Amino acid sequence: MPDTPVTPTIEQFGRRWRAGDISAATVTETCLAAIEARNDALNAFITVMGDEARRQAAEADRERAAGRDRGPLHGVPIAIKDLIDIKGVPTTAASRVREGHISSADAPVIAHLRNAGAVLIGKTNLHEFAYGTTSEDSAFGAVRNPHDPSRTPGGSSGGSAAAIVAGMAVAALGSDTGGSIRIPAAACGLVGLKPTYDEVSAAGVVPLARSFDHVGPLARTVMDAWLVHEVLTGVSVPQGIGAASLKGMTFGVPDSYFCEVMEPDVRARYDASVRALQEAGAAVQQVEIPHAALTAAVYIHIHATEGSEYHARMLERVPERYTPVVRRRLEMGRYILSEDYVRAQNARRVLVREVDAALGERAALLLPTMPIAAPPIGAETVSIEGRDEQVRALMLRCTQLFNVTGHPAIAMPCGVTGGGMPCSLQLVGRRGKTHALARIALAVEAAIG
Amino acid sequence: MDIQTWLDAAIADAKRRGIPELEPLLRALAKSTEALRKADFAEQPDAIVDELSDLSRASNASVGNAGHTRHTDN
Repeated sequence: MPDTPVTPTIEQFGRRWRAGDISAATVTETCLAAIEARNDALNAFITVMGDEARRQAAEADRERAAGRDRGPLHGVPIAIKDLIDIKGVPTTAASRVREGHISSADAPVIAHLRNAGAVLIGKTNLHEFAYGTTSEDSAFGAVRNPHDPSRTPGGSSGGSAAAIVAGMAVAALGSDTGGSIRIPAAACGLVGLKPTYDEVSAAGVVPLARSFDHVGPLARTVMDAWLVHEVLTGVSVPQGIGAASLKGMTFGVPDSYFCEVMEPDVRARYDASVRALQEAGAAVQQVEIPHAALTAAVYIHIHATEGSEYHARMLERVPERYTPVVRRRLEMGRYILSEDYVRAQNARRVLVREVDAALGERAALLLPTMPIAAPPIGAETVSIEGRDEQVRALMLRCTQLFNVTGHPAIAMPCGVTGGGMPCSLQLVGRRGKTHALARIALAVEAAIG
Repeated sequence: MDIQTWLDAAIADAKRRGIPELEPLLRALAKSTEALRKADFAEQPDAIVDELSDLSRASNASVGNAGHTRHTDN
């Protein structure tokens, strides 16, 4: 089990900071001390921006003393997944392919964080080029889960999740192409928000599959995730949100496909969460997404093609600099026929309509984030009720559809397994309605405790 | 091109390029391609273009491309 996090949430920090009970410098030093103490074991950070973070924290404290308040993220230490550009800092994407690269400009999301007064504490480790769900294929070594270092923190934004759990940052940025924010949030017991497609700029972010890539926050609470998300969209002073009322709210539950293969402990926590929502006054209706079982086939033909297009020249020039697993995945994508890519794009429109129809007039879809708890590092299969299942396929199973369709989705903790590993619930909202989804998530978070 | 012909050519090319370890991935991909081709995704090309336009309009109207507008939904 991890040490109890010593960093406050964004909300807690804001209250104490504005009351003069704590300084941004103190919280930043706490994070830097945690990095110093635990990063060798967890491998969460690739680049620690200690001097810059201290300067930004001191500036935030000076501004507050002078009466300038930039809003909820002012003075908050935030970690950045190391495929997002910060001017003057390497963007490694956890790959030797990018050795020597220094970013010439801030990505728009970084510029937004700076305007909001956030403290950029450093850049976090990830699955190389975000092409994996475990954060173990990295030029900088595998990231480890603070809840159990023999297990993966999920991926690809595994370093961002591990950093928050270990008290190395108050919140973090990730990217999500098939679940890469929500999967590590699930594996580490955090909230992870994938917004509607194209709601947050992905400029200045090393792409994986451009039409699936999303940028979003990982945080300890729904409110914290919302506040970071708002800043990422360009809102200079984000406002808090109020929880929606669960009484009379209807959730769609697409159990078919999404709940067919689950570890028993994870299923028990999921079922308990659904019951808790019903006890809080919400209704639950079974819904069907008729082609859900074909999601992986649609996903791979688009995802692998787009990823390979971006990497084609580097695969020719410096193939030996990739980790072997990621190189193989990228090379595989180069063999996909254009006719099958178009078939997958056609199928994608069908899936969009099917998810829209499943939502209908309902508030949100309710499903697990991940059907298993964080697996051991290096495991290719896990046994579920006597049958071996592929780890990567299972980790993507409940999340990748909403990268295909672009619907907003949020992962939130819903208890732990008998072995103490986190379980996670996922809510999916209407396209363009991330705000409404966050209000529902706030209510769900309170109901499932 | 039928899937078996494609798979045989892809495996041979991967071996020629010195990456025979691609074979298991290509075989798995072939199964996915087979599933995709067999699926009954009834879709008309015109409807696809319309849907793309609708998606783009809906996304831009509701949130703005870089999200500089405030959300008004509840």
